[in-house]
Amino acid sequence: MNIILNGKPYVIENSNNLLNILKTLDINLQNLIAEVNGEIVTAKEFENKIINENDVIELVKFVGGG
Amino acid sequence: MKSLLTLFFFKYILLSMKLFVNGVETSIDKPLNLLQLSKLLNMEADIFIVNSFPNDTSYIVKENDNISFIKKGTLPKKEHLEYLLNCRQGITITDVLKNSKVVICGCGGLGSNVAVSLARSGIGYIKLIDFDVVEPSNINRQCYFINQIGEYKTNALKNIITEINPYINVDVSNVLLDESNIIDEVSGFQVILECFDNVKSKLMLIEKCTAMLPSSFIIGASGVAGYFDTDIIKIKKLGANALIVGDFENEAGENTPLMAPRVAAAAAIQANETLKYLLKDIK
Repeated sequence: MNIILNGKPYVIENSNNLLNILKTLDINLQNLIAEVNGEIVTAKEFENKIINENDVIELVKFVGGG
Repeated sequence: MKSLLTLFFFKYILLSMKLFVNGVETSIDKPLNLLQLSKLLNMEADIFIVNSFPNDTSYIVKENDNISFIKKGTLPKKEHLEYLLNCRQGITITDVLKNSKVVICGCGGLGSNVAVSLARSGIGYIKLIDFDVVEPSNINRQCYFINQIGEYKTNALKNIITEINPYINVDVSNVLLDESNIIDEVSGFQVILECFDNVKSKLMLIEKCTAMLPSSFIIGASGVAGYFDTDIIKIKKLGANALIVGDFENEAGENTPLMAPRVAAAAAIQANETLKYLLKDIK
């Protein structure tokens, strides 16, 4: 299955939820908010968010300081 | 017939040319250049601004021009000051911003710098929210002064804004924002600025406000520490109504201090995105 993550193409196995995909790709899950096809997905919702062929995922990482 | 129309045309133009001088409607009955106009109105000046841009004294004024006469070193008359403060922006932009409402959540390095930029731009209503007081370690990057140490940041920042532009309405709220009060505190504003230091507060505001306040635009920040290149500071869209500014990696820590230039750079981008949003309908 083809997806776009942070602007780059990835090939992953089958439909899967966002949490498993991010774990498979070894992405640090701390303090993230995702956008899937333009819709916001919060960290609590990663596990229930099913990712499909050609989905576009953007991850926004939050770090402290201001 | 043609000569009659020509006569009427000239009479109309010459007898009733309306223009604005230092924000006040004025009419003149003959064509004048800027120097002649300033003499006619008895307004001494050495800076002549026409429709937001400095011009030469030989410029012949036109119908509906917005003219500013500024005498260096002199405090303008009270009735001219408000207009003159934003005369480099032009009347259309200034009017939209004067009728705009924004809320700044967190008045530290990001929030105090955002507030000063937006105050200079003439945003009509600014709400400031922060629970903390000014202390010495703030001064390296936040807009405060030594004599404000111990004051609530909101009150200190309100005083700074009033010194910059006394025509701005400033509201303050000395509360710690959390899930229980965030929506009450920030609803009804066109732009919500997330200017927190703490990462959990950042996530809380972005998650709650994007979900519950779809008609507000939310501008946050992530990754502003250190003195790395400013060109790695980017703007990321998040959903339909949020943008996040920063490099998304450089967290404040022992080896990545918070420094004035980079924090102010990110704050200036947040303020610029605020203006882009508020002025989006101007052609």
